[in-house]
Amino acid sequence: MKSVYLRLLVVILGLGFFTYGATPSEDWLPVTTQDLQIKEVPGTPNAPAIQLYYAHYIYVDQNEEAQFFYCRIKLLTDAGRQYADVEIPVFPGVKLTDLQARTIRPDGSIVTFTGSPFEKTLIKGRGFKLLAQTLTLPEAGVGSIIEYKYKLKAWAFRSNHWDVQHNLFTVREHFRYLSPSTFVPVTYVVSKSIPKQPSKDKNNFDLELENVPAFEAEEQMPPEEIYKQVVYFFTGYMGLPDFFWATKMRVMATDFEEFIGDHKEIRAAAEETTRGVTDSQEKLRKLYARAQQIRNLGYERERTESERKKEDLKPSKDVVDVLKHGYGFHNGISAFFVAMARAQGFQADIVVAASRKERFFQKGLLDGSQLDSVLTVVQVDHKDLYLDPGTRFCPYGTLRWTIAGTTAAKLYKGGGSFIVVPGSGADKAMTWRTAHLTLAEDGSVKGNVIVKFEGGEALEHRLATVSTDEAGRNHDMEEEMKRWLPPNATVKAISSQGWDQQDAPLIANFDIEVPAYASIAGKRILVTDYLFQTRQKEAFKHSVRKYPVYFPYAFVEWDEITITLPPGYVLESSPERQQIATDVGNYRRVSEVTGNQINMKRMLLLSGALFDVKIYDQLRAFFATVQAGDEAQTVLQRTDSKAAVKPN
Amino acid sequence: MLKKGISAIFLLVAIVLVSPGARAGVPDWLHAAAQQPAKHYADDVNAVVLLDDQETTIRDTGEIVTLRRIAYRILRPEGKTVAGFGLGFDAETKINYLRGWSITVKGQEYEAKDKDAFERSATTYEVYSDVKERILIVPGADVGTVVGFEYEHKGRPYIFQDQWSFQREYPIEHTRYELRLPPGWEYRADWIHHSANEPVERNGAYTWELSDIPRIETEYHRQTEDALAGSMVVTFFSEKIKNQTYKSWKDFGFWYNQLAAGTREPTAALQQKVVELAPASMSPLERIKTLARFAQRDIRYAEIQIGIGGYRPHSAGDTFSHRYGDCKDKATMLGAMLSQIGVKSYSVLVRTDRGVYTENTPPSSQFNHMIIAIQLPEASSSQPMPGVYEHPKLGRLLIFDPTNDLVPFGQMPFYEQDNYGLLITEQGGEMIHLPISKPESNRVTRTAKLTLLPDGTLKGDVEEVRTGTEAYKARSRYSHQTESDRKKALEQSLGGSMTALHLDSMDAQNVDNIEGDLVLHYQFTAEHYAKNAGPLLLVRPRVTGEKMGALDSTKPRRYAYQFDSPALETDSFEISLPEGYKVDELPDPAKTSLSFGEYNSKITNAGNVLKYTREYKITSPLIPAERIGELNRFFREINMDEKSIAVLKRAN
Repeated sequence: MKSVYLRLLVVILGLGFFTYGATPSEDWLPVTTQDLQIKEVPGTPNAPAIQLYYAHYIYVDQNEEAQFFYCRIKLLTDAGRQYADVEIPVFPGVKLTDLQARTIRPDGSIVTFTGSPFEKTLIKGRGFKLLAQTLTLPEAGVGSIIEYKYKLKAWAFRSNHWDVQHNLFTVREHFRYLSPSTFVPVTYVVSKSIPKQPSKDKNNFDLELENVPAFEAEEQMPPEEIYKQVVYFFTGYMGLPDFFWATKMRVMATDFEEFIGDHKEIRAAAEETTRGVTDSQEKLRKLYARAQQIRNLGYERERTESERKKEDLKPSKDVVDVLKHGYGFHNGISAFFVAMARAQGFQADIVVAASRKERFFQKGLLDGSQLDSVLTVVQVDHKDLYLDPGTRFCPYGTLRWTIAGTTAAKLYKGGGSFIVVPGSGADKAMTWRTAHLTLAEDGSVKGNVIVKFEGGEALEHRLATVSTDEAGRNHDMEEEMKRWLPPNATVKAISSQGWDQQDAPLIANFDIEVPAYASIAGKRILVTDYLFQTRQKEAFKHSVRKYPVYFPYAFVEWDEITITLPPGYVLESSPERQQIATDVGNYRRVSEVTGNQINMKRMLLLSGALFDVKIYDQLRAFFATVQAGDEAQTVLQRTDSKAAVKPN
Repeated sequence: MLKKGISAIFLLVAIVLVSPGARAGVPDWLHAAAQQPAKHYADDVNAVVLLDDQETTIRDTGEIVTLRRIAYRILRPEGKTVAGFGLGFDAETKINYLRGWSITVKGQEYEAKDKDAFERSATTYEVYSDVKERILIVPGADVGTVVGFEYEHKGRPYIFQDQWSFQREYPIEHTRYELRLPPGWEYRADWIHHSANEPVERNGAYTWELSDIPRIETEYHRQTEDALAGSMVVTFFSEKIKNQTYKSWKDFGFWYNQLAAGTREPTAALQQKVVELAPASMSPLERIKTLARFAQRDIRYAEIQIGIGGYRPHSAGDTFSHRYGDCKDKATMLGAMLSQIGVKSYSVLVRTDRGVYTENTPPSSQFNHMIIAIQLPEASSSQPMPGVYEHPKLGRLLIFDPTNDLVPFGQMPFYEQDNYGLLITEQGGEMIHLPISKPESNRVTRTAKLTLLPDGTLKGDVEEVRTGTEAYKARSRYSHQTESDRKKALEQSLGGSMTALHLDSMDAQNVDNIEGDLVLHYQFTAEHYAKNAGPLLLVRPRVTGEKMGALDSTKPRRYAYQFDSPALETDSFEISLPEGYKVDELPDPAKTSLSFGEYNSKITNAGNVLKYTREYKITSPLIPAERIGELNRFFREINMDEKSIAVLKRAN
């Protein structure tokens, strides 16, 4: 019994008088000869600056948190001098203290910053104030070292991570996380690219790294976040991944089940919606269509409280409210659909997916907001059918690319489990383009192009223009068509249809003209049969690649081009038929001249969305072949001896 | 001094935080505006200004108070941004109040008051500025909604001028400007880009009214909005503010001299540095050049602007000791240094957007930059410098911009050329037409020796030599890039017209040595460059360097087209043909000569080498709208030539 009291006393004393452990020094570091001599970033000539040292210490107490930052940067070029202007954002509830800064001249002498930092208002209003402290360091020329250190103190926990990788190459970094040993357990997770794990002593963590490369993003890469080096900390039992996610799913499941409930109004509405229909698929389609008829407020502008009051927009406490109001947000509409489906005897559940639009799901990263996209799963004819009634215009049976193939939580009463949402194949995002053009003797072409988007392509176009009007949609379509055509083309949208018909293709009709489309060489005219630019070529201009290539989704393009030739020309040569099938995609093009017309057909299929960097060369070679095929030319020769006509 | 727009992120935060709004008390003037019958506008007009009513009152103390009421009708979803209104202020100016209202199509009314407003720093690029922006967002912003704002603003105490800007991005149905002056005060109204109108005088107030003002439309390569939009500048005079206001540019110069008095006083440290940098043993021109270079490269650009600091430079000594400053600080410090070696120099105020100031612009303070005019010694007259302005009294003045550290001594940044600047001397201000460089000063000379393989692969060496503006523009990119970034950028650029390009090597010389020509040398391999067509091989002799400009020919052009500067580009590409192939047919040469430029090219064949040469010359950077047809023809000719194909045939 005595020992129990003793242990209790130790705990109490510990709570009151814990120590952080070995508090690291926060003094200026000595300036080394190496610091003064360094002239460039190893392997990166002409880098503007190099970070010689970076430190970030997090001190966690019962009620507050303090962070210490230290940056030492050497300015290597004129462009690097921008680092001498320092701006430190200070969020509400945070206090900046102990700010010190100085410049170390190339000869090692020191100029201390003696002024006061300026307080800059980033945004202020209605009790909210986001400020920044700014300063500029004196005598910060090329070859100088600037350094500054400061503390941020907050009354509550705010920071839970170390940013290990920066925009500058960093020679040496030191990170610490210090919290009392009597404190709830602390765990951490590191991103895959970190070369070394932090050392751990109870609730204290330490990490020292050298030569951390600057993070450089690439075009068409997956979300940057998963490639940047970061260490995250989590406290308490919620720091255990299985426990964390189980708790998260239980809370979400409880909330959704309460919202869905079991209501006679819903049963009546479901009955009315499916009256006379016996086929289960057809029933489900009707219920889906009914759910999508609900006014989706998520696609309207944000409203203030007074607007909601005047427009009589009320929050929904359950699915009956969604039914009564006739409006709702994404999650409410999804829940309404599940309720309707259950009322008709379907096994229907809520699924919460981790959208891959901005990031990829990481189970070890205990951030519940990763699960951010609600959809539904319904069992029909013993198969799981994933449906997304909460996304406006989303056709029955189609999922938006952002959630296709992602990790998700399937919720059931009292909890949930992780699943992977099925991916979508190339056939779920198709673009058809048909062009009927006439070639003039001066080499220009003129005519009509019809574009048809189906599945995911149509959905993305509808969503992209949801907040504009007809003129805006036409403008957007014209701009897209211009990007497909040679730079000097003129485009006029004539008509478009299917913007509000989610199950129908989206069709747009254009008049186009491309001056100097064909090349004239003496008695010959050289015509590129394929009118459009290879859309994906931008991603493959660089011969070296560091990160995977990431397209949002697999797709197919089908094109048919007909070019009517001017009289007096005969075919001299036509591009060879081309057909390639690889792991990354398929490509087929064929053109022939019949009478006075060139008829060209082309198909391009991209088989996936994420391509490992190991197959970058293969992917690049595939698209090089596609581009070469797209640029192949038909050669026509004038039947008489005259040269072709040049434009005035 | 430039003002940035409201950022999307800010608006998002503000909308999320915006208050519920108080009970609406929509004023009669907004009700009246909303009841106006709707007029028809083009389908890309996002919003229309129904009323813009401004009352400016000058108090006998010299205080200027502006009351403004503005009403918009939202015509398109993109026009909803008019529901957010931003108004600038700082320590010397004051917003007495700002209110906003809206009336929706359904007749719902909303109000937003001062307490609902947000504030933020109005600019972002300085280290610090006390200029803030108060932003008010009114609820109910949907298509058809009429929104209105009213504010009262107290003006800057030492600028006795006001501007009625009656033309902007939206059409204006009706606008009114009323001026109230105390006894003994006078005004002068100067009109810009609009014919002068006489006011109606009633009860001591002067009123100007205009209706149906068209919007300023967006067009490729047009001049900035301020160079096109109509406005009226009103300047006030009274014995009480004598010498504090300006009737002429000369007066403006005096006014500025007062403001900047004493800032060129040297300190001992500055004097010592001048001795150290530019000893008397150097030639006079070399001394000037050395000091100019110091101000240009060793004084880091950093702006700290507080109140009058937006107009008055810091003292030369402070700028020197800190080794940082903004444009006026740098110019002022350089002026102080030059005076130590007996060289006179003068501040020159400019607006970096060409066209805002012309020889007809009345005295007004729309400048956003300061440079310096250096009086060159007579001995320097033999040295040709594109940046020299021949002043009838002061002689050769070198116009120099110490803020731009990528333009060599003797030259000017392109945005200052052919522009107007206010030269400030002891005799006051004088608007001068700044010199423009010749095409030959801004050259790109591109030579390539290339080899074509039978499978269509093209490989070889390219050298590009850039001078003047062309060198400056390339340096602006390169100076912020690592070598790896430069390579990527070149791959990106070349990849636009070549397939499967591999950059084998790349070397940029004289990026930092701005006195030298910028030389870029690279080697590349491009697969599938030439296309096989049966026995033919089709090759584009113009390998790189696209010069065609962009013009929208679907609608009539309204405004002049602006190139950056005169330019002369010459290309000379030699392509060795694959064995067994000979030239079967070549495109015709191109030759176009117009009032603003020339383009000609030629393709010849000698032995197994195909040679493509061309010259592209722009002599005048501004093409008036009435000459757009010619420009269109010019671009068409270039496009045709750039895409032209030589036909090679395999010998049997």
